[in-house]
Amino acid sequence: MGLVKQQRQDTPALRGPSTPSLERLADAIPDVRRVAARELAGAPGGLAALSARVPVEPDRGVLNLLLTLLVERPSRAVVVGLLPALSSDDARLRGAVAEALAQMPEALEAEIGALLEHADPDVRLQGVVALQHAPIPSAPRLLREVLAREQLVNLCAAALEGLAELGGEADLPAVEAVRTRFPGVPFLDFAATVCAARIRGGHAR
Amino acid sequence: MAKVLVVDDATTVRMYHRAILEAAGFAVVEAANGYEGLEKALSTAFDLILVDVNMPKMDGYSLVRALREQPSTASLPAILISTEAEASDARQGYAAGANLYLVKPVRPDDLTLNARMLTARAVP
Amino acid sequence: MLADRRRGSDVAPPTAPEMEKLVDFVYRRTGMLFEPARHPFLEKRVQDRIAAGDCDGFDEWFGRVRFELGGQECQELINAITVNETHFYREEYQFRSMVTSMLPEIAAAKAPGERIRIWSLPCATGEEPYSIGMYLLDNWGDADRFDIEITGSDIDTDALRRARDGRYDARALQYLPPTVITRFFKKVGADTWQICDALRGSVEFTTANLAAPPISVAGPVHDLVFCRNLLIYFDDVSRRRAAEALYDCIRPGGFLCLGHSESMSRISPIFNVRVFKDAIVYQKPL
Repeated sequence: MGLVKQQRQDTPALRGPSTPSLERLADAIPDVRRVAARELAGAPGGLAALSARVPVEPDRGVLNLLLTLLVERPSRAVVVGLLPALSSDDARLRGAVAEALAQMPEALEAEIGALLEHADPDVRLQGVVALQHAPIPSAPRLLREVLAREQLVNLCAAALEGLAELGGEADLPAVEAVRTRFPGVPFLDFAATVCAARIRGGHAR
Repeated sequence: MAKVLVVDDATTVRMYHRAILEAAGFAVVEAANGYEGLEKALSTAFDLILVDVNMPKMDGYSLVRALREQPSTASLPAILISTEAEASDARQGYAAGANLYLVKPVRPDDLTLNARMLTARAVP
Repeated sequence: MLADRRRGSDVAPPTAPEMEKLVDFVYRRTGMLFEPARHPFLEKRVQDRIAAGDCDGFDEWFGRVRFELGGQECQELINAITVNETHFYREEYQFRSMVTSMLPEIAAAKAPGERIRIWSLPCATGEEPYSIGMYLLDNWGDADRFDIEITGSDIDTDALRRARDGRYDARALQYLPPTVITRFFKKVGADTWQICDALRGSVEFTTANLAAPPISVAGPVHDLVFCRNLLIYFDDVSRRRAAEALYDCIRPGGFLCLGHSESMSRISPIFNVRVFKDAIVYQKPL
């Protein structure tokens, strides 16, 4: 009793039945789905299966694994495969997918234009939020463009949030213009003030 | 002084809610995401929590549900704040256990009034 | 001839709004919140980094931190602002929670004769796994009723060699109660104490790299894992991968303890939060 050394007993990896990984990706048992997901990640065409599973996966642990496996293998196809999930009613799913997209900045950059012009404002919003978190070099310019063209209050708010961190002197006119474009929206007035102060607070360039 | 926990991933929104609540006499603590909000709510006694729905890692509905499962926060007044104005989203909010569901951006008067109502103490 | 490198003191300090941007970013990225009292420390590190990177000023430097795809400057910043000092019984409140809350729960679910497995990674020069052993032998009344396996793992083989050797100086022992030193150490030099043979022989040291999983072939067998002050250095993708690796090696209902400023919130939502009297820890769902 007390402290003892390892017995070094290797537990064999969990093996599913011989049914193909695709079927096991929809198995009732989460651990079986986890193993199937890892198998599919390395298989040809497997990533598409993982993306397709994302919107319907009920277990948050398995969902997280699906997204981790996709994020480790970033590509434009992976990004495009995840976009439909951004229109989901499920806030948890939307958030998880938006976070994953921001972790694939190079692949996301190729698609970000489409995201920012999507018909669904929720999708556009997730695109703006991703811009703030992903290291996309064109983010400041894109945020400026969003701020200039968006009519929806919450999208302008998200753009201001991004510009407060990433904006420069060239953005000040658009930031100040928000006050007059949306009179009577105290939050936007507040956000414009914060954003302008953060931008101005740097040394002149 | 009543203490409010403001949970939102957007810095500017946290600052905005802080400014409104402090002007109304509340003490404010911030959390930048759902898990941090849960940790803070469980380790310190708050009188009110403001929770953004759209947060990464743990969305607002999940946070409120988690709070309702813990004895210490089961009756912590919770205001869910969201960009969604659909009735179904409000229903989801109330089903999760929120006391109130507000749509962003919130007007200062609305937030102040509701915060005061939810933190009003019974007269002994 | 190379031009003289600029020093941090030659660089203008960041302005208040620049500090706000940086503090927000550091908080989001690492979980460390730099309160105003620590701003001078942070400012100086920023000035040093701006000079080292030969940047024109804060904007150029911050642009690198934010947009460099390899994350190099971000990593340099994090290294510069974290203080990595190791000693026995560091973040002791978690060991207290181990004994008062986690081990009792783990033990209650064990069949007779079933082992309790505790893993410390990274273990560096061994202070953490030895601390785990000492603390539970010293404070857990049920330690004798179970076979407890403690493993310490790290990527640094030199550190592991020193861990197996178990020799430390006074600085490492400074937070230990004298009774603990008497019970578990023997003095072997002017400023050197060595872990007693019984404890040294009880802890297994192995190599493992959480940045390159899998980290274990044993499957989900661990009851308690300490992974403190490592994930803070990982980028988002590596952190996701590490969280999955940790998940895969912990048994359902097992616990995970992270460093004080780290929170699972910056890793993934796959663990449950457990609030105990002495600590908030993470638990793999049952």
